[in-house]
Amino acid sequence: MSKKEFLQRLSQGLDLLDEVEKREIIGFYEERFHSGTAYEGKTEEEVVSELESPETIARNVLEEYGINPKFIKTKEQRYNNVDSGQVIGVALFDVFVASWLLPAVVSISFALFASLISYVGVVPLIIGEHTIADQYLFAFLTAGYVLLFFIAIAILDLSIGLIKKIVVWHLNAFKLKNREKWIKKLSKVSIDRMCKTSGTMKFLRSILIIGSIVTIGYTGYHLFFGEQQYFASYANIQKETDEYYTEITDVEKWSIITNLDSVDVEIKPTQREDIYISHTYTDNQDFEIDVDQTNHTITLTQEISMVNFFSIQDIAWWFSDGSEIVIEVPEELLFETIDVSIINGDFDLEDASVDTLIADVMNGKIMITNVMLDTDTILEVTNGSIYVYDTVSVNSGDMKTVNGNIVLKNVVFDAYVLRTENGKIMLDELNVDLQDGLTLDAKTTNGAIDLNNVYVADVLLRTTNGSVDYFNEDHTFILDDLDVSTVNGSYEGNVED
Amino acid sequence: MSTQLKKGVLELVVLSKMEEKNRYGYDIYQEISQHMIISESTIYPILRKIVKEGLCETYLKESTEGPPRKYFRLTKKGKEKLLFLRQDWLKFQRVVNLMIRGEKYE
Repeated sequence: MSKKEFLQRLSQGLDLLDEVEKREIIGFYEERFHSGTAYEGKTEEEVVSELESPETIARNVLEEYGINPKFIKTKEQRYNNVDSGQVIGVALFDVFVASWLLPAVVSISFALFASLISYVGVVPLIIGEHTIADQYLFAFLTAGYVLLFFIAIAILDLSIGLIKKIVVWHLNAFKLKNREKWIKKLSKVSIDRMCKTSGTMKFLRSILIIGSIVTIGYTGYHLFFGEQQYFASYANIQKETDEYYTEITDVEKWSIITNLDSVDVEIKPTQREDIYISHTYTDNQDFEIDVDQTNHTITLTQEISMVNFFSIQDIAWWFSDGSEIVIEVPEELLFETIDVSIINGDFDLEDASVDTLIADVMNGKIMITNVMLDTDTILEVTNGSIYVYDTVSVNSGDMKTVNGNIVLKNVVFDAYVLRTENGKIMLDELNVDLQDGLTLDAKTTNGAIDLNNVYVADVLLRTTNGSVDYFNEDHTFILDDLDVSTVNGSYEGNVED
Repeated sequence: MSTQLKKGVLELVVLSKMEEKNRYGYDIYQEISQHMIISESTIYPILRKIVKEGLCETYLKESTEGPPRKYFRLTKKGKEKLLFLRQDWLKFQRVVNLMIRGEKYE
């Protein structure tokens, strides 16, 4: 047996003694080893062989302290005072509450800390040219960020406190040895305490918090309620309108092609003799208009902006209605092609006659009202709905959206292909007069399909999580083929094939 | 010799050894074990008790041969206690002798 093992076993044997006494007794034996090895030139093993076994020593020592080891509870027995009900309670708490509560609170505070990075976007307010409103807004936001920082710290502190509480509860439930020591140590871990113990920190914190509240109050008052009403001035930000006129020299079909970023587009007929385009905006965004008289084409383009940092213009934009392009054309004008592409904005087409209609909108809606169509029509939206009213085509209509509805009312197409992921498909009065629709293929994942007076020969309706309704007033109309499929919905209807 | 008897007088013996000169723990044990068979493990708790009661104080003494040793030195209180114990022992010894002889010669 080595010295280390000997002392370890002795220490175990003396577990019942309090820490100081145990240390002292072991100290004697450590010295004893020194005497043997350093002074008498023996090996550790020789010293061990001179001594009694650690267990015997422990027994003797305990006896000298008036403890008879025979009458001492075993180690397991000593844990008998652990309340099993409490332990089960702790375990259940760990599994059902602590497992989500702690990560949630910690991540909230971390998320708040991370959000402070967006302060970078506030700084440009006072760099370069800026108004007094910018200064107020800068002070207002800066103070807000300071408060946010302290809120994040408070939540972090709250989570630390929570963790501490839970750990202490565990220590107590399991009646752990030396838990007082640990609890005492734990109680020192706290940001709040750190601030309290350091005078300067406490002072700095108080100054910052009070300063921020005062700043927010003062600048906020000026921004929102002050005489100048700075925020209101942002809200009523001056919009500008540019106007363009295009003479129509001969009676030809015209085309409109757009490639736009953030703007609503509206095309409507008026009593005019020329084509009139008005562009209303807060930010020009390099808007360009190109009129090709020989090909009779008007091209509208705008610089497609990348995702940019949060800027004061954006705030202003939220308060305003955004930009808008209105194209007014003579009532009798015919369109060859209308090809519209918009990132953010609505497209509205009214009372027109178009050979080819293609519209592609990312965020916004498409509204087609009273239009005559010739070739295939393609309408696509990512986030937004498609509405087609009182429209006639001799060809097919292809309409797709991801998050939005498709609504058709009083419409005549040859063939319909309708697709949406998260939205309804509502069809009302399709091919009513001639009952001449050829095919209709409608599909949605999460939404209902609702058909009323749809007179199409070949109908295919599919939905995963929605119901299908199909009712026709004219019972004499018999479909060639009706195919309805729904996974988690029901089908109701009075049509037959 | 009965361990129970030995234990009773061990404190007196240890204090006496300390009175002779300042000693370290193992030294005290070796001194005593020359005259009676005694377990090392009973000596150390007694030393602890004596220190705790303030009968002696400890100090570390450097040595050229090895690490420092903890030496025990009697305090004034310890010396008084030793005097008291000694008188006690003499009285006790006399009474015990009397009783033992009494039994024998009756």
